[in-house]
Amino acid sequence: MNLKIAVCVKSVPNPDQFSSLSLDPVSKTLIREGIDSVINPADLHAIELAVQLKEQYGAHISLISMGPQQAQKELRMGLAYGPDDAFLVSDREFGGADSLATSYVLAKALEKAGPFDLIILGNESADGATAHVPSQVGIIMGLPNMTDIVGFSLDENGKTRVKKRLQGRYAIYEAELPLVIGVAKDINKVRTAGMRGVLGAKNKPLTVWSVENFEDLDKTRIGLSGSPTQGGEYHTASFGREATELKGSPEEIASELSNIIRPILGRE
Amino acid sequence: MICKKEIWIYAETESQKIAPSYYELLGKAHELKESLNEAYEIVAVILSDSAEEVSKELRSSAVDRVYCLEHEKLGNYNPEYYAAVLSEFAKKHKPEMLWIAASAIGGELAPSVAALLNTGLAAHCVDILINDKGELVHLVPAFGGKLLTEILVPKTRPIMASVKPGIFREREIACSKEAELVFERAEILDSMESRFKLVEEQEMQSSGLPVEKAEVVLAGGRGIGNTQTWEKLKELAGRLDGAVGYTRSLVDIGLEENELNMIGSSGKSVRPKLYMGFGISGASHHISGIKDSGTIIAVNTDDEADIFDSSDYKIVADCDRILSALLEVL
Amino acid sequence: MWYMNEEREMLRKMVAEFAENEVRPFVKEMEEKETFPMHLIKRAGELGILGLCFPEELGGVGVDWINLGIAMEEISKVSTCVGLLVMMTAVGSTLSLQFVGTEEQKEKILKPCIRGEQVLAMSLCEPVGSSNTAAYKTKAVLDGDEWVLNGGKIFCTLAGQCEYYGIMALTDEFNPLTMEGATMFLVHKDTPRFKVGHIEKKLAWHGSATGSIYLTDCRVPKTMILGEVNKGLHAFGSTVMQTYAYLAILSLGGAVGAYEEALRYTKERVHIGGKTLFENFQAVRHRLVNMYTEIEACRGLLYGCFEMMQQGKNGVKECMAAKIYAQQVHESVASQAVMLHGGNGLMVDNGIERYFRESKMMAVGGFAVDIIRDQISMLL
Repeated sequence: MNLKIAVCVKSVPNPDQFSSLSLDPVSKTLIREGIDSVINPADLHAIELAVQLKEQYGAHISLISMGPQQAQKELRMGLAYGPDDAFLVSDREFGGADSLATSYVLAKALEKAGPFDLIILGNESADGATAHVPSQVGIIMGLPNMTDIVGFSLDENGKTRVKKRLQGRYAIYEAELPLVIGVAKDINKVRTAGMRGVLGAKNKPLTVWSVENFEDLDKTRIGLSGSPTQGGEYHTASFGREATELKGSPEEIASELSNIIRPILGRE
Repeated sequence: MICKKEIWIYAETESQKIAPSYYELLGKAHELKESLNEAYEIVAVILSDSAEEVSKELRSSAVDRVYCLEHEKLGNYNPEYYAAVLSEFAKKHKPEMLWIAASAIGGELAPSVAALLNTGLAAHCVDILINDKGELVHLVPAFGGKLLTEILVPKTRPIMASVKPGIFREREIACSKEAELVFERAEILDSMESRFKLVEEQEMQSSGLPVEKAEVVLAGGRGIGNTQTWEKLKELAGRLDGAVGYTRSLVDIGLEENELNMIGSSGKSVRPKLYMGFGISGASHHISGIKDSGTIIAVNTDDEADIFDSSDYKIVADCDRILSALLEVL
Repeated sequence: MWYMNEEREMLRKMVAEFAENEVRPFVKEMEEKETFPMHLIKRAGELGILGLCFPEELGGVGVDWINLGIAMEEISKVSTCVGLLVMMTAVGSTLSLQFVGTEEQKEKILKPCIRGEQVLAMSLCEPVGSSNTAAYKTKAVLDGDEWVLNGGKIFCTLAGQCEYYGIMALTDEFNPLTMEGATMFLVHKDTPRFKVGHIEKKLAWHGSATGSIYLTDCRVPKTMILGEVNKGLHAFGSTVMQTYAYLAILSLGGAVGAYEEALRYTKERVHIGGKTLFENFQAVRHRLVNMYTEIEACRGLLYGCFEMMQQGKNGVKECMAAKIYAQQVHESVASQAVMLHGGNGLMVDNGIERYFRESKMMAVGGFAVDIIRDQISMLL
């Protein structure tokens, strides 16, 4: 079939080290020393889906990322799993972007590197965790898009079935390519990349684009000035929990617990 | 004519009933309204193929107006139809704020509408308030909840916010009069064909989940004491689509044989949305395995049990009785 | 560390992932039930770990001795037993096949080994004389196109789990000066009258079957000789450095594993006054520093050996020294790790005592350290 697939990846601070993050007490900025960066965990599942489709149908997979120069390291790691090439969109002017400005830049990069039949993203990033980007990339590109996807299949005619998680149930939709999907981690299990992949990653093309490489970038939509949301101060959240004690008969407690539990589970 | 600014609350429905998240957002809207300088109206917005019944409930929910956007195509959730209708309507009526619960549907609807309106959306707010500088800020978690950030939407309108269900508490609000009810047909959908076709819906099966992947974990410790109580915990876990975990003590007393789902520093670490520990004392090695969980509820007969220092909810009671009572209710 | 770069860091991460996700879950069962999960060899083959020192024509991923060292270290951190078995297939017995093997042998044995589909064990030890080749009782006599083997070996690693066994037998009177007289035969497991005997219970490495093998009039085609007749020991000539260095890396990996466990334990275990063991006791901190230092000294020596291999330099003495030193470090670090765990260090369920038991194996296994000392002394 030879599909053209794009996977958007993000370099994030290692979630396993989040508990070591701290704030500078004076400037209130984040101290990130000693924290490694990794590929956003959900994006690995996106890469895995792409590689599975490549093995099944034949595809060319491109990784796309917006980030600092150092994010090239994460893209190389991503290439080790099987994708064919990678594009890093990096420029000071892209800095400070919120999800909408990020989605705009990703959309432009996808247009430039594309066109793609399928664009796969991890549903949310470990650091910002807005889960906005898959929908917003789709909307900006005018492509059908859907998030929280736990199942995906394709037939020989390019017709897809996507399984989306809803409240207490799943909904399965049919859609034609091209398509944008945000995948949940339980869609698949990420393979361990083999040595061949790791050692071959350095030979795969990795292109870095800055603002100059784009012909028709609307500068009012990029970076900090293109972000309708602005971040203010950070506060530390306290870890020690204050327990609310529930008292009464077992039946009363159970009833209160039920009201506490249901919303967490997304149930009525 | 001077129109008051509006706070729109998207009223999500599930099988013809208003989701509790609506009332949670409503409570916060009223709270915020009091600290705002100008007079605001609170408006409920609902999308439906037939909103007759639910709109009645919304009218008496202490809002100033209810907009019912109707169209045949709005029966089942479809991301393209819903986002198109809500954004068109917002463009037409220009609310100041638009809040959507970050449920399975809302979590997709909100960013889609924000992109269509080219406006800012504060995601998964844990609070919305006026800060010391008089700015409208949204408190949003980052880095797995380790830190909170203030998010502002200074220039674009509407100011959008999404809030996960259960974050805000519902509150009782005196409702003096019924709201104005406005029906509008979502004409934009007449000429629109979605590129998604709903083919099938499937119920969620509860399975023997591995504990480290589950969103819900119920764990038992020494205090479980016997097979019957343990069975009750497992039954409850099944009902909540959750995984079953346990401490070493439980293995010691013979209720589990292997360490597949043992939680602790020498076992597994879990990060579920909901963790409930029954009969667990809370030795540090177990706590280290659960400390990043969303909500921690602990039940133990010992008032001084260590686990209560790391819990959100403390229940000093016999596990067996609480489990029995929960099985009646959930 | 000086040899690390971005690519090697990726490689290390991937092997560490394999070790954590696929090897670790089996370690307990392996120790208790004494079964070896042969599928781990297959997986190591699939992931290309076994191919890190073989060229692509043979199914490898390209030769890089440091890369192989990094991979072996990561696996040994979790289990030196699994490390040993992966190492045997990656470099122990198969490497000589690459240099002196025939095309047929490479097709039949080497390539499947690199893919993880087969294992080749080398068996040298005998009841009388152990490493003393001159005293071997296992002999072979030519009969037409076949050699007839009689005798037996003890302490054969992976006895009963291999496709092929490399048996060293005397085919002439052994000449200690020229080292000629012994021949390496590649014996297939299904050879009639080839028997695997008693499997021993050992101090550690329960997942690896160590046992006796017996040959009674076993006929081996003359195409199944590794290298030349009477020059069996020479078959290992070009792989001496690797043999010692990759045994050493197992010990280093084991030491690092024990050290990291101890560090984690002492930094997490809350002790008096709400502070950790690490915070409360200088003795604990100093011990950990000593362990760290020993490990890094060993690392410097051993990875220097890998770099020498990479540059094609002769470093036989250094590799032998590394094997001795690494075992020493492993034993020292594992022993201290047990103590740092206090009572928990003695409990089987906690896993740290396994490191201690495993650390002694290399003092004798592979090549006994005192024999190696003798060999180095001849080169000084």
